[in-house]
Amino acid sequence: MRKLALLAMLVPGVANAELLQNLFIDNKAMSLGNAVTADPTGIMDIHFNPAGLTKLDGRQFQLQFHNIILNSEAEFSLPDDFDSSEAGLLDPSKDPVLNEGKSKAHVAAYFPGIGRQGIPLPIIALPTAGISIKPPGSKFTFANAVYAPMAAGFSKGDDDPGRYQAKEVAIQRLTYLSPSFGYQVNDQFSVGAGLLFSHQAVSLEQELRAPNVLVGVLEELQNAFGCLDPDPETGEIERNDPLAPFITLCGGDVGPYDDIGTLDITMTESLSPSFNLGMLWEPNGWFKFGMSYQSEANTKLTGDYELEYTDDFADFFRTFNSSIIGAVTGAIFSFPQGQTYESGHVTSELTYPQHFQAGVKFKYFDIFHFNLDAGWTDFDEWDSLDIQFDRQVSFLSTAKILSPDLVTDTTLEMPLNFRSVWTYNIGMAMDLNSRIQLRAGFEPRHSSIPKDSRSLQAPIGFMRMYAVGLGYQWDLDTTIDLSMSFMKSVEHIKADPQDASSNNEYPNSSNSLNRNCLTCVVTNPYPGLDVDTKLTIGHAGISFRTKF
Amino acid sequence: MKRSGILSLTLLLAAVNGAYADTAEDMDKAREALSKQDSDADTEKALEEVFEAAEKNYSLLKKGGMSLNYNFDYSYYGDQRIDLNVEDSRVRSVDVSPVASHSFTNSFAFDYGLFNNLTLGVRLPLVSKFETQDELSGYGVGDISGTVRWQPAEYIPGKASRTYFGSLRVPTGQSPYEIDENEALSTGSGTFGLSGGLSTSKVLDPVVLFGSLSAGYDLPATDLNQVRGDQLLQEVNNKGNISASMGFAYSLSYDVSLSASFQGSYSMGSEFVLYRPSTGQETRSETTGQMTGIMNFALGVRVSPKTIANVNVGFGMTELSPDILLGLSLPIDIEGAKPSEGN
Amino acid sequence: MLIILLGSVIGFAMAHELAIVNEREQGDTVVRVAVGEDYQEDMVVNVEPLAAKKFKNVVRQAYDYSCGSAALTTLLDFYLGRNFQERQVMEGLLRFGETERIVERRGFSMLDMKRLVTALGHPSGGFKAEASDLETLDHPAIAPIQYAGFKHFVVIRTVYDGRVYVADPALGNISFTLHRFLEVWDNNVLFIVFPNGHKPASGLELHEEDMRFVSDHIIAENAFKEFPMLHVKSEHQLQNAIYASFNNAEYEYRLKVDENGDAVVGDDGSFVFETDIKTAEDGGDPDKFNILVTDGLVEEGQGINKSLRYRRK
Repeated sequence: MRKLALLAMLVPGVANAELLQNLFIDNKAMSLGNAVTADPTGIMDIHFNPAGLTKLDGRQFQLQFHNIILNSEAEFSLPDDFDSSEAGLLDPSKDPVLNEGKSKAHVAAYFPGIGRQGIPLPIIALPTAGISIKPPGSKFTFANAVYAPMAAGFSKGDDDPGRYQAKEVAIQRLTYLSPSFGYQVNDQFSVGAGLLFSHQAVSLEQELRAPNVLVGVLEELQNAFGCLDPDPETGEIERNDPLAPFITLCGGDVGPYDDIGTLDITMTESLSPSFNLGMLWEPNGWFKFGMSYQSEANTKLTGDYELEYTDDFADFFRTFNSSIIGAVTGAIFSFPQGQTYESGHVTSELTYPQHFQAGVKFKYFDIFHFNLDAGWTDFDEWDSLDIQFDRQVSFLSTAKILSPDLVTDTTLEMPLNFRSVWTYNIGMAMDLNSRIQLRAGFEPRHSSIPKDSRSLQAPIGFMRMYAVGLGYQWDLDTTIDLSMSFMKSVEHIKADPQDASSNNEYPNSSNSLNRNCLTCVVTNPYPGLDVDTKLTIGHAGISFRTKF
Repeated sequence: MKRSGILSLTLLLAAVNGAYADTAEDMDKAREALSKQDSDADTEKALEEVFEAAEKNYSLLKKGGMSLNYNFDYSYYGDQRIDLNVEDSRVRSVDVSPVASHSFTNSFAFDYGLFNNLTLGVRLPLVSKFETQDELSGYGVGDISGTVRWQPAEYIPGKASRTYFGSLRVPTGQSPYEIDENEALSTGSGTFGLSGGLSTSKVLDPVVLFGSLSAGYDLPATDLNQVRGDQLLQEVNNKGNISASMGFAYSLSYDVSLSASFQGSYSMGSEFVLYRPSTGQETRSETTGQMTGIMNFALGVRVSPKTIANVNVGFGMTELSPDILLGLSLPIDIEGAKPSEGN
Repeated sequence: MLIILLGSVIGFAMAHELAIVNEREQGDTVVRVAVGEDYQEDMVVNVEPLAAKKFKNVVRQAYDYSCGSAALTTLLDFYLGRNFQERQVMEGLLRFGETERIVERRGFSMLDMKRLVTALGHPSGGFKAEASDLETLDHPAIAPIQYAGFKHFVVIRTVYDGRVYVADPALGNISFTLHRFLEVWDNNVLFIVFPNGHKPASGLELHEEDMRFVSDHIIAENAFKEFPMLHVKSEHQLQNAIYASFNNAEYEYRLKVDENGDAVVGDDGSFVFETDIKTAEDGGDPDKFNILVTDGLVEEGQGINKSLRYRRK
């Protein structure tokens, strides 16, 4: 019954990948719209194109600060033509989130060794650092940096209406060691490789509820039994079961908009190896061509899960199972025993997608530069996320009856349906004088999340990133880069019409958010509601590179 | 103390005398040197110098000295797994399959001389493991360990040197008790470990004898929640262990040396608590003590004036130790960071 | 795995590049203590290697036939405290010795040596000696020996406790038992160069490490040692071999047919199958199956009982 919906709550907050790809890694790259495969940026070429490292002489040290302002909002509303009289057993107008205002999120991160932490600050400063060494007379340049090639996470308040889709989530890949080298083959051609040791984390906390028609039926039955009616004399709720001991439904107050519990799941891999390869061809003074490849990384995540059920939910099943019908059906369908707490270990595999990028750089009139890149990321790999539990989790046992394809007693497959996308990057620069270079960049970032998989965990649609920046040669050995950028995603995810009969007819609603259907096993905690999401990101950064 | 200083000085002079005495020129020099001794102040100073020099002579790193050691280690462990299916007190199926476990560890050990006779060290392993039978793999940072080495007495060449050490292992690796053992491999031991002991070496040119003796204790791993069949593993308490190692190295030339050593360890077993949720029953049992032994052979080759590469090949001699051990280590002594080249 | 290995190597190379790395001293040797323990240590110890040890205070002969000049240089440098190269001594011998005969013999004689040391101002003499004289020898001496038809000069450093300690220009510091030395000693001749009135140098004195020869009784003990076989569980191997031999008999599981070649149908209407265990007489590949006459060993309904024991090590 409700287990179906309960399962639905288990949605991981995995959806954020494209969110921060190639963002906040290097200031020069940001200000050129990430069109830097053919335009070496400095030590962070470890990420963009290791062949560019050959441009770094001697021993250099680089420190960067990225200051990020992130504003993520979601608003829930009834569809304009909603008619409460046609709502039936599941009435979205009764959804309490409608009265809880806007959902607002701030940034969260995963700190290895400590765990997931919300950071309730208006501005986040993200530092990265690296060094490079070119031995005198050598064709090799070695480099190493600490940075986060993928970082996404946010945290919401306890009463936030968005808490049913990740109250707090962090997905991040932190590269803590990246021994890399560039090799100058000849004056025109160089190659490079980076070997990356990263920490991968997926961590999520989420409130669970089951806004499903079947649960609506259950609530109606509880009302019919008068379970929750107060005793006329004492005013206390007696929870008399009229049909006990055959069937008992009054153990606890359950309903489609009542909380079931909280799920907390954290999975990490402390050493996830991957590599980057790159080449750079500079046939003449006005044209450069670069290619880079970032390998995928198959991370084998291990971790823990915790499920804490509300008293009402646990009491309901404890009482239900004590009845004759409850004992029989409970045994057949392995309903929850009425535990208030379940915990154990989980294992999963997540492939950090491979990425390919190629770019050209033109220089004309000696002072103007024009960069154009195209990149592809293999998000087709993110077809689904399979989570393996180390023991039988009681609600999975029940949910598998309704969705045998996706669920077994100990495993859960969550469809993500991400798709690979090509993105284009455009950057322009002008040398104002021998010291100052002005830069501007534009990156239309196509979302790898299909429309019917949009969710609050990754409120990311198509985003345009606009950036400007400045490079300043302080002295012979010291370079300073400044950048500012802005991007925004606005999504209107409309609910299915009330009389919708087929899921595929209305592609504007999301299977992962507000679809109203019996068999949508993947989360839809806000059925029947229109959801508007808005994500804005502002960034200002400074990097400083000098010889030592 | 003073007497020993005088003694050293005399010896020093005798050596000078012996080595140079015969050419007239050298004789003159020696005489000159001797005549200088007449001044008491100078003698005192020389004594001090000799005395100081002797005092500073330890075989650990000098104060402020650093060394970095890169190690690559491979170990192989093969065993037979018997899977039984017992039903109605009958064995319905028996499946015996060989399991091969490969483990590769790249580790960095960094030592720093806090004082002339006290060295601090830390070791960071990066572990990758594979197991063929279920095609499991595990990557991760292993258990980081820190070691303090203390040499109470100065080192006199030719005499045995004694170094006391204490070591702490932090379970930063993936604990074997906190994973789904059918799905993942551990990269650490899962417990804090403390050990302390004594290591010694004696140089008998061209041979070095070395050995160590230590005792270790693992803090219990509690609050576990690991599925083992239909039970939950809740607690593991490794009792202590005693280890000893001994061996010798034989220096064939300035470029090549060979060594052989034995490492034996007796662990006193471990106590564990299992909980069966279906009955609420808690069982407390223990494993018996076991001896493990490893033979290790090494070839040290000076690959450059700065680097000695040490190649280790070893084998486990008992059931619990690996079948094959291979290792490469490159210890380097670091003076500090290179100054800027200014280019 | 490969990525981690490559990354670690590059990381180490970077650290190596960034840091001032000290040169290792001659004789530094790495030993690994406590293999596989948390406190595993690669200890650096300075040892004088065997090769250096062997030629300590011995001048090594530069040419195949220059043993005489090398032996004399050893004596001059390390006993008489001079500081010559073998080359200088060779030139001296050629100048003061019987040049033509040296060229003819392709070697130096004791007479050549005597002439040179006399020119250098050292009293010297050649003596005919007995074994007992060797034991009371109080100066190092050059002695001719003859191994396998080769004539060779060595320096006798001293004779102690029935052993003759020799500085051999070809082999370095070695020792002979007195008995063996008397066998190879050519003509029982010694050539002694005496110090010129002053105290001799100590280079040829006997040191503790020279005594590290393998003594006869240790050789005898090791050579004739018998290792008791108590710990070898050979009876397990035997047991396994026995049980294995009546394991894996070749058999066929097939439809039971009657004389006409028709399948036999049982009481319940289904076909009857039978197991046919082959015996040695039936032939078969003995490498694949251990065919034994199993009659009497395998009884109906009992199956084959096996008890195999194995140990990983």
